[in-house]
Amino acid sequence: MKSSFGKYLFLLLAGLVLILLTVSLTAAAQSGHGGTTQVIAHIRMPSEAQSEEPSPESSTPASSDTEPSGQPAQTGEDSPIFIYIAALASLILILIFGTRKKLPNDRRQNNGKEKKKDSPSAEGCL
Amino acid sequence: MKFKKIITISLAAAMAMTATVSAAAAELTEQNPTGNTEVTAHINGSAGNVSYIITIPDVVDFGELVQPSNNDNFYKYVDYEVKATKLEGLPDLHHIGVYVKDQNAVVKGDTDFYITNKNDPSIKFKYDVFHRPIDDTTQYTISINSDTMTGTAGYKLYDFFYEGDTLDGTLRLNQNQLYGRNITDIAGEYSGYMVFFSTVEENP
Repeated sequence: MKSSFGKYLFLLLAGLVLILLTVSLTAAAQSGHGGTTQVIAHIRMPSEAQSEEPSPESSTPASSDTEPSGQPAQTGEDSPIFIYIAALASLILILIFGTRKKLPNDRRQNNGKEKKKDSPSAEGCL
Repeated sequence: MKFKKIITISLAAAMAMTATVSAAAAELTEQNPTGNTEVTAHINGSAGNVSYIITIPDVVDFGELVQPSNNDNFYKYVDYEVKATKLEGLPDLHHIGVYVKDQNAVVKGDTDFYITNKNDPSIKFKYDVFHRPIDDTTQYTISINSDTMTGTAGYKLYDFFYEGDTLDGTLRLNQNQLYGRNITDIAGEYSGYMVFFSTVEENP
């Protein structure tokens, strides 16, 4: 039961890594990450507005609001972080299962062999 | 055991591919003029290698758009920067030309850049791109998209000749586009994309 649970957990994490990887590649292809710049903005609902409506005078140029520069070039979105976490967890599971003790069936066989070794041999007795 | 080996190999391959993807950045290079991987390449007929990286912003945010009370010009400006962070092996009398266009732009078609409502793509607002810093005090300003786009690469944004060359530009959106609209219809998040293209060009 324990080994089955670990196996399924391992498969789940491996699948998660592959899914996240696929999402990351797809996003990169769609956004042309590196070749495109996303331009964003938002408009609040009237109930969310916190300031009064501006009323620029018609005789003077409209007021402006200079926003700070956009974010500098980034290395990508956050999805690779989750991929690394999932990949690291899967790697840890691999190491655990790779170095875990033998199954109970193997233990019984080994114990049988050890008992035979412990039993005194007729040879060598005076 | 065989099953474990297969899974292990697949996972290792996935991790290797992940490292490749996550190493990508918002950069234009000679082999990926619209991509993001740094490589070196030869120019046909020229000696040596050209290796360049043009860094573009990942996101430019106009912030909150405000609905004005009249239809007068009510501009909102946001600055951006494009920089030649690396430029090596460029032959004499050559430069890196950088072009830009809206993600949906077509040659000899709509010249504007747009941000689109994420919930209703039919609602969109246009903005202009300038290859210099501007504000309301700037006079005689012409956006790069004031004329019809004639090439598939887009509008010429800037020519980079040396490593470290920087373009400081401005995006401008006229908020009078919101005037007279039902605020409940247009409220929400907006997004659009500027597509950059870079190429090695000979000086005119």
